[in-house]
Amino acid sequence: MDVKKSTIKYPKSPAVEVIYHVQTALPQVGDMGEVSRVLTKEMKGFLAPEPFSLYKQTMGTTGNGPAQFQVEADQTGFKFTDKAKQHVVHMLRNGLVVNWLKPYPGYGKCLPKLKGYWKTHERAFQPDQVERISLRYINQFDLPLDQKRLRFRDYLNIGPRMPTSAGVKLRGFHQVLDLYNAEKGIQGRATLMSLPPQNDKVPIVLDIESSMKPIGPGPALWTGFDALHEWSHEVFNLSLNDRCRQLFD
Amino acid sequence: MPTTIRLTEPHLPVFMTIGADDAYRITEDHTQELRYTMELLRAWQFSDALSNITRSHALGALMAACAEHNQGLRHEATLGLIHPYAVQLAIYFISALPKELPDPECGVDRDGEVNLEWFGAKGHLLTLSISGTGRIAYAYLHGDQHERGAIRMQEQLPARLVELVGRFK
Amino acid sequence: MEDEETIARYAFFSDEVRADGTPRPKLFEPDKHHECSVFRTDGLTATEIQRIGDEVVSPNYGKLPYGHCDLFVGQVRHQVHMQVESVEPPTHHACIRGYAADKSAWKLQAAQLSQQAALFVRFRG
Repeated sequence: MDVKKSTIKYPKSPAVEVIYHVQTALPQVGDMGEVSRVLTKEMKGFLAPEPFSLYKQTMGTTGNGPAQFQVEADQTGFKFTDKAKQHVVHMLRNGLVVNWLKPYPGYGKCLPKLKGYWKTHERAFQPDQVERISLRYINQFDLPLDQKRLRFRDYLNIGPRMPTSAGVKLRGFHQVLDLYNAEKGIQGRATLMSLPPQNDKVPIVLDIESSMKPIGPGPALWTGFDALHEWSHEVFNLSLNDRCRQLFD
Repeated sequence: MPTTIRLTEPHLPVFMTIGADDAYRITEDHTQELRYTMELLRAWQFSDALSNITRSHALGALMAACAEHNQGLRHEATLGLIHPYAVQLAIYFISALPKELPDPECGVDRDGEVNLEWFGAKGHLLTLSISGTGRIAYAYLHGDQHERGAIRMQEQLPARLVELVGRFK
Repeated sequence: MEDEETIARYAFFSDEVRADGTPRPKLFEPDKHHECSVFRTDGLTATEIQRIGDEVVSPNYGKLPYGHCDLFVGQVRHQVHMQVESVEPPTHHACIRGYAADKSAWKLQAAQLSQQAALFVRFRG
């Protein structure tokens, strides 16, 4: 029987952060004071909550007026960080965002916690509907340089391809792949980017984000996350070859 | 009007150099560049790991300071406008800092220039202000020692400023 | 004004003070008249100090101050080599004067003042 790829655990897992997001609409509670009271009562074991704002750039220049950078802050909720700073919960007017930092405990351990936070979010904001769920795996790993050289295709199935030329050398890349699974209604994006090389290695970030509209409330949310979890692992395994995966053993 | 600077900073990650129209340029068309950066910020704002790579905590603090300054403009007539080019340069400065150097604390001066600051033990600080013309005025204090000056932004981060920031590692 | 006298600078922007309460140079930046407005607080209670910020200074900003940072007149005069002069009305008002014209020079002065000042006293949680 094939082992589900999503159940394989790597001793040196490249996942540096995993983000679960439930996007909602039409919250019935908008008073941040009331929200704060509910959250303070329920969110135990965290550092003091921080207000969380989104920033929107507004008009820059009007007519012949002087150039001006204008940005507005919209406080949309609160951010809770656990005492070990490994885990962050954003309770927001338009959704719930939960982050786990390295070491990632695994999908099986995180989902029950997510369900608990979701209940708290529902009590605090009373959203009318769930618009979308998404799951994001941010992986970071180092590809070794061999005498200051690296052939990306030795490790990556996706990524840059540059024909050999004495006059043209590749120094870095940022690639975004727009992916989907029509049958399951999953949309996704894989972002592969290099960071500035260090002495003997090139750090790589593989950021896989998948999302879907859940088919219903309640349990459908969680079966939706199951589907995103499986699909994300499929994209991960397609993106990297065996030689790359050996780096995580 | 500020001139166009072609960026050649080796520490700048690729994703920061891709603009709507041009790569490797900070242009006079501030609306395009800043719009792209704001979109990137939105994509990273929920990620703690990426925020360490992209320094988006510092960029978010810069946005918060700009937002508060803009609100102040409605009442305090003596506050200066924030020039978009100053914000572009500040974002570039923060993003191009070598990985081992710490994030600055960000703010906006009363005259609208963007300020970036680093603090060590009491009596040790570096403050720099970036103007809409690309001029950077700075002051450095360390006990009895002090230094100040003005440097114009070029293709790479001013070496003297990078050296001073390095004292706060 | 005596060297031992305490003066307070009210903070209206989040980026004037660090998270740990240390004042930042912006708190002591000069205004368009090239001076920095402060209030003499010797003999005043905490409530009276807050009232001055709330009623006298806040109309200039359209919002209430977050709190204040204090320093002694003598620190301004002898550590930073600037002047402090009483300028009334309003009652208790004074100005730090002697800022240089060049920005990097007055930034240095503002930084030195911020390093002399005591930790931030917050009015509201």
